[in-house]
Amino acid sequence: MSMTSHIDRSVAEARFRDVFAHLGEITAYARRRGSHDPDAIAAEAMTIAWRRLADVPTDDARPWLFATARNLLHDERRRRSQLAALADAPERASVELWQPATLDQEVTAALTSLSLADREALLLVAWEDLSPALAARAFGIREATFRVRLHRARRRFKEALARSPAPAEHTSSHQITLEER
Amino acid sequence: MTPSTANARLRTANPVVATKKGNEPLFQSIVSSPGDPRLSNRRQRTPARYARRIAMLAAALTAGVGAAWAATSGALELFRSNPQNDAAAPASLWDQDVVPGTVVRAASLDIPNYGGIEFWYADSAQGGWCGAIRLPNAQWAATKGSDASGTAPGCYPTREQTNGDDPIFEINGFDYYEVQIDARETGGSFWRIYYGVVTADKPVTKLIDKITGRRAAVQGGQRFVLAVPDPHPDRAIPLPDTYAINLVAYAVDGAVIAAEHP
Repeated sequence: MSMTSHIDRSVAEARFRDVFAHLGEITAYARRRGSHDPDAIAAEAMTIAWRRLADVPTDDARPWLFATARNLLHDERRRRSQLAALADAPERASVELWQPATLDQEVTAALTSLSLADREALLLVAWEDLSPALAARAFGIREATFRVRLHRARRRFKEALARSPAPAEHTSSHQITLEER
Repeated sequence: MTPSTANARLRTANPVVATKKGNEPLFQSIVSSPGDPRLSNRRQRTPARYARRIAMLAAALTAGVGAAWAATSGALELFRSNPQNDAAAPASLWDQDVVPGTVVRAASLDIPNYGGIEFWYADSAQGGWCGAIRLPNAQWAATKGSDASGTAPGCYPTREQTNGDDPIFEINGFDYYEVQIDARETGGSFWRIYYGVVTADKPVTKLIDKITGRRAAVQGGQRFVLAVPDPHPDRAIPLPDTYAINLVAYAVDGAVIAAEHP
């Protein structure tokens, strides 16, 4: 147990409603990270948040929720990988390693060339709209450490993008909103 | 290409737009399940739940059972009634049964300007444990009518049982709950009382909170109760990376056998 809280259930429910307000962001996060079932990942993350409410930071729950969703995504991939292995399915490798999908093929290629840690550092800030301080919490590392990682990831991403042969053309028609699924 | 251009391009390539759309059925479904066991088990009185409780109370009074145990009955009756269960489904994780022969007064403490409190303990048939704090006026802490709030007493699942296939607790050797005693009106302090068990291979000979230096009363090398004064009981939940307490348990040779935040 990392923290102890002393609030009664009605207060807990009111507080959980604030946490639950991030449901859409967690669903989007899971979908961006290639989840097979982003709704289920988000619902599970919220259920865990309810059961561990004393651990969820009160100032901003998103880093904690993203970290929880990331662990659930790992579990999901592991399960699918095991199932694919049992079936001797050829897609096993693609299940094990998330391949980013973006609206820009060159951005996709540049992201794919990065390590998972670099990619996650970039995307937490660019797509999940976290400040470096909050993204550091989602990683469970110090802010200064995260800023160094982010700086290096941005440099690598820029270099990878610069190696692209032609200016970018957006290759997908439009962004997906959660209602469009 | 400048970094800002690259970053802008990355942002623009975001394939999914998050929405603020809510999901009230999911919210209600989640909050109807057992919440964080470290928080109070008292549930919000929704109209349906309130009506159900009124009906249950009426039935209990009709049967002549009443709620006399809350103030006068012994620990066995309390554990049998299992108040923390709070209408959990039969045979659910929180529906644990006390093993009558294991009920003991595990440890006691003196709270300045308040009086002596007792930690009562028992095993549960399902592998969990039962715990309750008895107050100087013979009330059980965190039961209806009690002047001490906190986690309702009863028979709880262990952390391992609660975790199951979906871990939510760190398994660090400690398993405990908390009640609060406010002795400020009688010239004392606001106290947080932690009671529970240490699950380690060796018996515990000393258990302290490293933040306050307070030492717990330990019984049987395993069960403990600890009182920690809180000078700011109305403050919000501690910030991330800060802790209300930091428990460490030692064996007779001084070796650390359980540590909460190593």
